[in-house]
Amino acid sequence: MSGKNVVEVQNLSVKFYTYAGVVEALDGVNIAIREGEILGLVGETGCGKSVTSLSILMLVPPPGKIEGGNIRLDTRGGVDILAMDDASLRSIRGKDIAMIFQEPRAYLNPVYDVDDQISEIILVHRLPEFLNKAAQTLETKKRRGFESNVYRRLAKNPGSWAARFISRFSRKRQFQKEVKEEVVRILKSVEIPDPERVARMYPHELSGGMAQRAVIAMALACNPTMLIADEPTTNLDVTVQAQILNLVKLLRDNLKSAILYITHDLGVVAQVCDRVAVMYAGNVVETADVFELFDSPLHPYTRALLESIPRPGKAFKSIPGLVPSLIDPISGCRFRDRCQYAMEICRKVKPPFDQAKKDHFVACYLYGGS
Amino acid sequence: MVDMKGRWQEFKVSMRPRLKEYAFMLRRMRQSPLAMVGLVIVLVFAAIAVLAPVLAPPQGSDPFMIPKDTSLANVRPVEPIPPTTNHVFGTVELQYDLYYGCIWGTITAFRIGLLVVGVSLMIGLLVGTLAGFYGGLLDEILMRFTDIIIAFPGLILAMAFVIAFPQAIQINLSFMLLVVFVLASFGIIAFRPNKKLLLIVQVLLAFSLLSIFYSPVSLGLSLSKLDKVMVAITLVGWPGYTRVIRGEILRVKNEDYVEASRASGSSDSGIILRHIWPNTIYPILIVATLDIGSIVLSAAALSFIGIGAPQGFADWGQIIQSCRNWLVTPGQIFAHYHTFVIPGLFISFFVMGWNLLGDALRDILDPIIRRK
Repeated sequence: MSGKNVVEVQNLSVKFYTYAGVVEALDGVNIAIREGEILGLVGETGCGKSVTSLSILMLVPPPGKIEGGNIRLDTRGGVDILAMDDASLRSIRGKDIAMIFQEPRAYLNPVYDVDDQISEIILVHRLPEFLNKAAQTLETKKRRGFESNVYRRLAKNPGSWAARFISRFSRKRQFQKEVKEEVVRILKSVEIPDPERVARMYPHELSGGMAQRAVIAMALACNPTMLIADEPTTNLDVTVQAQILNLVKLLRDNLKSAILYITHDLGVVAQVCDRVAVMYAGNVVETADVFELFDSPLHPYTRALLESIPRPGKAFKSIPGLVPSLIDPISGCRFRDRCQYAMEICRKVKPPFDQAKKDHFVACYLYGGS
Repeated sequence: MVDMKGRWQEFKVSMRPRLKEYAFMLRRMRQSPLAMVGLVIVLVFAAIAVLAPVLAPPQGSDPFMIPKDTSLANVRPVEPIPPTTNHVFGTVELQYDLYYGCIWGTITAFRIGLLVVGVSLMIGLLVGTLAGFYGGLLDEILMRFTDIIIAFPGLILAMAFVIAFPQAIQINLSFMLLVVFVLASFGIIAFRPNKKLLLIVQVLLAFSLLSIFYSPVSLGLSLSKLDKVMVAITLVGWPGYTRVIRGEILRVKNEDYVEASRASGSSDSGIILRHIWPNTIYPILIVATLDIGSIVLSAAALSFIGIGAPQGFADWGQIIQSCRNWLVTPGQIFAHYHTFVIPGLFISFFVMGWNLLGDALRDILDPIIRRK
């Protein structure tokens, strides 16, 4: 399973200009997400997982700035997301790349029901499609008239003031019916039981798992080619987590979209991911197939991470030392102070991110490099 | 037409949660006697305002000018007379009918309260949204400007405005265009960053700036005394709303669903209209309801000083002002009590009604204390 790269992040660096100093949150991150795979992004808190995902959508919050690198999006002919203007960015968000968040209920607006929130995204990105569809349905039913004219007019030029003004005089029943049907279809595709009823529920009426499904449904509203899931199961209990993980796998198989799955839970990684990228202090240190990574980890940090998973009958192990401060980070490899194999060169030059085996990349001098 | 019944069913089902919510609000309101009192007072005043032409048929061309009893004025030109059958509430100085003034004054009170609150709310919503949502330099400029106005005592600043306004304003057309273009360029920067459009608007702006010095074209705008009072109170009142709205928007704009909406490709205006305003508007509506009463009180205060509505105008404050000389008559204390007690009661009840209603709304709409 090695399709083409849907999104390629190269040398991405992000800095946060805070009062305490410049935080180098990302320092040359390289990730490629391939078609039809789930790429797990693993790392401890504060290593830059979420910043990476937000950078892909250009949503890094204010003191943060993207300083360099590029993010190539395959569906738009390999354009660099970082060089886009606002309007085309908006057309990508939600349509090409969609996002699922950690706390589902906080990401649903309390004043709207599920139906409203999903149709909002449909209306933002797929308005002409549904207008034409509604007009067509009316015409096949031999009900060509004011309503279908309104649809055709709006579909031709959604921004036109005249068309929008005229459309105020129609109640747009057929159109609303089509959108509603689509919402129910999407809800069904994320395995929500009784979708017609759930569509009318407000966020506070949903359970945690149900809310997460609704958020996933929002993300899937426009059949995105890539889905970013930012710790979607962290706040759910284990049985619901298993259901959501199965759903994520199902989505990969059915929609053939690429999924970037961000988590700090190696158990989840082993369950759902096809490939894994390990991050440490703003760097991607290792990328490999999931079996390869668990069987023969290369980077000392990955090894230590795998060893520190608590197992019954074994003494608890942790990685000695602390994560280096990202304000004025240490030179060379950022893991060197905690690494038992640290060499002289590790202090001076940052190790390059090279291929050690087939499809197994690592940033460490132990495995070649110059 | 075929599926009327089905549609009605569908409508009923979709409206059910909303109806349930309204029923709950009404029940809460019925449980609190003060809220009912407030509601009844406001409704009675509304009924008086609507029925004014029936209760007190207008006699002159302008219904807001209180009719003068000329036959009485010939006998007793100045001194008010107590209630009689002809004048149910009696008359005030110069024999203006008090009953007529109180009834038509209700309309004036509603007009002042609703218009001033409505316009200040709109200004506050616009400025507060721009400042809160976009932040940065724009926020700094707008909020410092509102701080300047808040720094003055409100009623005194309003007095200064009323006195400073000319009766008729000559607005230079170039100046108006200048203002429009400045606002337009702000709007473009904020909502639709388009360099070409901005360039066009700014070239026009430069032209209007140049033409301002020799443009003979100007528009006349005449303000009645009451209009001046309303404009002055609006100018003093909007910064309060701006602050409340900005604070609410700062709270809501960091909510996760706003970020989710942005991540799914909504534009700024879409986010403001769909996500920010619906979640900010309720606390502000409560403040506005409470303010309707107090704004009528400020207008009455301005009238009482003598810089408000003109003499003979159906405005409660003006009526009380006209009986200032008859509060105490030598020899007979409270001989003319009706001239200040009756309009005073109207004002007090009006303000009390809105305050009780606003308090009740706060209790009902506040999600935390409502379920207790």
